[in-house]
Amino acid sequence: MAHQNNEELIYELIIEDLEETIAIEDKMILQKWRTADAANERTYLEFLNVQASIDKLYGANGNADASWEVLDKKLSIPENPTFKIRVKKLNIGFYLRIAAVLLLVSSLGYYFMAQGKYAVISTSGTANVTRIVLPDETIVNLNAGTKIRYNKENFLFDRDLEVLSGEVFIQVVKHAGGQFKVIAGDVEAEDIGTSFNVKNENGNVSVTVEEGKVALKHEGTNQKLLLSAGKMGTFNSSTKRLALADNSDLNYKSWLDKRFNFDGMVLSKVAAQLEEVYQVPVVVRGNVLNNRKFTVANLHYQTIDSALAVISASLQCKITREKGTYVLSDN
Amino acid sequence: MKNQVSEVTEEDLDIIDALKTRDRRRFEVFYKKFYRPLFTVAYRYVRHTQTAEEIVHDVFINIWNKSDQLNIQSSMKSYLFRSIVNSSLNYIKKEKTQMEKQSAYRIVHEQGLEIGESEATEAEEILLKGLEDALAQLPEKCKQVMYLSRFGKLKQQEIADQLEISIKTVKNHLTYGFKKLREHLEKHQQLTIWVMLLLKFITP
Repeated sequence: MAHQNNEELIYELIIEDLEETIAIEDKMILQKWRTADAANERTYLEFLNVQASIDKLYGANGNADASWEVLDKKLSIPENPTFKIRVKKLNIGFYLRIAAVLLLVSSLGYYFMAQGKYAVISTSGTANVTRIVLPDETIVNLNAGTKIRYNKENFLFDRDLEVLSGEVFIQVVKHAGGQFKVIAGDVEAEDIGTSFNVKNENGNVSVTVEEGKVALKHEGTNQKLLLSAGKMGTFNSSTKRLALADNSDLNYKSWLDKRFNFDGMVLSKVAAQLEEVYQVPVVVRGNVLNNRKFTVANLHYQTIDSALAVISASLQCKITREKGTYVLSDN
Repeated sequence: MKNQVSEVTEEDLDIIDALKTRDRRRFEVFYKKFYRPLFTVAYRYVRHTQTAEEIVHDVFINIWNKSDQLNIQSSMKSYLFRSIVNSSLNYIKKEKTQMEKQSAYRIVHEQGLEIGESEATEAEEILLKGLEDALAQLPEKCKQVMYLSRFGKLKQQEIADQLEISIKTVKNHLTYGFKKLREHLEKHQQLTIWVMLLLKFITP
């Protein structure tokens, strides 16, 4: 019974962790539980997996802009004949209570509003991909260990997004407001197109364009690059140099879509990429197996088990789990 | 009583003012902010894009046209979600017979698809379809808590207030829901590996 209760408590903590409402002391309890046993960590990852899958259902349908256009027309009809929902009568007391709250808010609210004009979103080092929609409907996907910030009060006029650390994939929407701009370390990336990936590792920045065009600038040295689809721009924080190259990394956004293309890549590197994306340790045993080459187009699985199953079947090797680590070895 | 007053947010005051001044622009911002979670909750119930969209529209038309008659007992957010859930449940009740016919058709149709196009069907699509079904099969109250939490993005306390249940009960429903979905995904995962291995053996 006690065991059952403990299990329920831990599950509650995992859910609070996913909701990012967990208290610091509870987070420590959860962390301790996770590291105590590989099975615990597996349970935690399974909860994450449930959340990630639910998130996919969340994003499956619906477009706010298109929907508003339809609603806007409906609202222009004075009395909607298809109106179905019954409404209750006005409750004067409610408005009196609001008036009381309004007085309270107007006297206290400004301080908090001025302090909190920025929306800061950060993901933990083990978080799943987090998708957020900015006020202008631009979609930003955050990799684990990422921190971004924007001015929530003024964003529709000044569309600046700061990538303070980590990695994001951005799908910018057309908007009547200012040009969408990403600030990462010392460089600025101005969107002239649609979607691109930004990575900021201690001030070393890389921008990879999927669609459209992006202008990459370093104000300090007045350097500027124009990146088109398939190009990658990098900024080296030590040399302060911007550089342009063709993007040769087929898997630059596999952290987001979990799609991989391997073209004769040695298994040790394949394992390293899978490890980074799924955030689970993967080890390849034996020199021969480490250097075997693996080729596959569009490997696409939400869980590492399925991805490894394909590798195992292709290379005829064995998968085992040892204390939370996936081990690939010869049969 | 104390709770009800504290639930009224600055945003509520802003939207009430926008309704009073017939400020369509602010109403649009308000609509777009809540559209996605509201639509998703409605969609999860009715499983039909157009119907879910109409339910969301009706709620907002109601707010806009009858703003002087609204009786909102708690926050606007809570009011919106309560309206969406009630409208969705009413729709299901009214359309039950027709829905049964539709879902019978859907099952036959989709089974045909799975058999005919099983090799081409992405593993993820199967997973998500299964997850939808697993969610729909949860007990009614648990399902409502899961929908409001995971799709409506409501906090546990907000759900407790809305459904007039304790926060402990909300936690229990969420834990149960997650456990069931986890079991479902685990089964799916095993099946996927099995199918993949089988395909590798039977294809030349």
